[in-house]
Amino acid sequence: MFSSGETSVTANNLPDDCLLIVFRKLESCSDRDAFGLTCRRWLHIQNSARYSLQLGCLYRPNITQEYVRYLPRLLMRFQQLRSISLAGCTELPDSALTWLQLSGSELQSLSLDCCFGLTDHGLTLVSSGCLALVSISLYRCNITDAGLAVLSKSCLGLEYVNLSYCAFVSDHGVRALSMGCRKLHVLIISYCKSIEGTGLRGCSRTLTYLEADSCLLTREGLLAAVSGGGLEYLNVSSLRCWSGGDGLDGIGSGLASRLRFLNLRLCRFVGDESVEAIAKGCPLLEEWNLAVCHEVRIRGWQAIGSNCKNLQMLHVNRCRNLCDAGLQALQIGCQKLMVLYLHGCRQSVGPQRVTLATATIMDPNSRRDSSVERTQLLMQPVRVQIVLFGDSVCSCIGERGGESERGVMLFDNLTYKSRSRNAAINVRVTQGLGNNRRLSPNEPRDAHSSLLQRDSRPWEPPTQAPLTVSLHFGAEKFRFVAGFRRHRHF
Amino acid sequence: MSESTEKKMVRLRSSDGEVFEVEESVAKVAKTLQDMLEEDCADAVIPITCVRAPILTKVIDYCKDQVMISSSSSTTNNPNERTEQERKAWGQKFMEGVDSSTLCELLVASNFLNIEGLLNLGVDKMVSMIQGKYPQEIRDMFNVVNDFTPEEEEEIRNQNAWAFERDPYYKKRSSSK
Repeated sequence: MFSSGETSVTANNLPDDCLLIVFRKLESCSDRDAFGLTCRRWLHIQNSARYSLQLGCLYRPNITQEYVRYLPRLLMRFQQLRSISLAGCTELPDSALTWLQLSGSELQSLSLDCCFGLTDHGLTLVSSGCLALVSISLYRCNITDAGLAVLSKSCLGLEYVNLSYCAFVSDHGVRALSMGCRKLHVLIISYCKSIEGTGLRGCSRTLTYLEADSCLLTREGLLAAVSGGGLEYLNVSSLRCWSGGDGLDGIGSGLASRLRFLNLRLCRFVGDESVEAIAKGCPLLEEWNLAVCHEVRIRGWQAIGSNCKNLQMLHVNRCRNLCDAGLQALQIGCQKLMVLYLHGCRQSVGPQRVTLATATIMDPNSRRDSSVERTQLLMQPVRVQIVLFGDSVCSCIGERGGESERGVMLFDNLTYKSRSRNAAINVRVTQGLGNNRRLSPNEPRDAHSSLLQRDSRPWEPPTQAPLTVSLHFGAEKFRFVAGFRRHRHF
Repeated sequence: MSESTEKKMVRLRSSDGEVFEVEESVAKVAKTLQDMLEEDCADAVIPITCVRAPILTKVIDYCKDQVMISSSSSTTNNPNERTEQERKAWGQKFMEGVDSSTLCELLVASNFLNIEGLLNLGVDKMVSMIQGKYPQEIRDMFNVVNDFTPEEEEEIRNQNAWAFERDPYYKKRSSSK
């Protein structure tokens, strides 16, 4: 009980529960650290509430001694860790992982990206200590099949494994993994030059995501990769050419019928036959990257148009044999298509042919320049052509409306009229995102304005990268990408 | 204390001996008291052993307000109904001028009596007091004794410099200011 009058209650009287709630509501690291430095009891609360640790030695090899010294202390201090990232501890020795044998039983996620000093022995330590591991990233690690086999025997709950650039991992290791870890959900083996894919034969149906960019998969390997029957995402871009037929029709043989994302970028040899087989065998496809697939011709485009009814995004950048008839087939058949990457298609898309809308985008430098230069710029507009499928946008009515005074507004808010709706549409222009990337929902909505704000230098229209044009009709949004060169009309 | 012949009354005794008489509905805002009352100890004076009279007054004020909102919220066009914004403003006003030791007592009381809303108000207040402060400022504010040796403190600071954490909830730091 407390005496009346002056109170003697301090924060020492607060129960741990209260302090923990307070601590959890502190958002910044500096506030959390200040909380912990107050006294032992508060430090204890900070330590017990800590679930993730990322060692701050990012890719600085000259501080090896420091982090090797601090790592055990930090692990001693934070006993509840669920996630540890040692990415970039380039010279971390195997011995630094010894503690995991004793205290890693709760660990679910471990990143050892670019830990070049680790060997199979280190991976064995992880295997024996972290039985609850769900996710492991070994990007550019020097581990081999033997280490992977040990891991696969003990960490049976692994769902996410990143082995990209692991030069010493071959199909033996992949086989051990795919046989041992039957919950495997995501596997990344990009740039693993020793993997042919056959190790994936009989892989679990839970495997839905396979990233095998620039691998040397064989025809059998590719069939093995889809053998689980659960794949929804497959990236085999830059696949090496096989002799005698392209062999990619295996993807369409039925086992990959759940595929929603397929990346065949830079598979230059992919022909119409395979495209047709895939289009028929993978009816759920939402995004398909066929960039630089020169062998796809009218038959392939028609097959896509008549089979891929769920396709929303198609990459045909730099496809030499995309013709207007092919575009028309896509336009008529793929009713859900919202984004078409056309950058660098030489012979297609004359404005008078399949274009449904044409936008003229002014150089925003005009905001900064003198009136003379502005006039000059307006005389040399950068033209961007937008091909719209499956919706109603038609002509641009405000091509030069209010051009002289509005400056950047011209660039940012061109007004269009839609065919079916009378609503005005805002057009925003963003710098290209590269041909080979899938747009993620986290991409900034209005990258253009942030581009202008972030960078005070005069805006240069990108000469190589595609230009993204977003159209906003109220809540609806469409995004288009078109290639363009400065001061050159299509 | 409000008198009412129709409504059932409950008596509470603070740690310093003062007795408060409140309507049962007000007392029941506190989950701890609700549980006790449901076990039927209506006539007895309930001792609130860890809460002093001035704090209990404030707690009862809070509970009364909650009853006022909830009792009239079923009727349409309720003048007492609050928007999210108003509730926030009300909470801020309720905690206005509360110093750190009163805050701690309120936290202890709301924790003991299990009044979630009041606990949250107190926690938010404490969070806002800690934000942007140095450890020594926090100690001074909440009367916490530094029981680290200078060496220990130095070691913790060094460790903190190495140990990054993903920002909780992935929020930007600036948003908390």
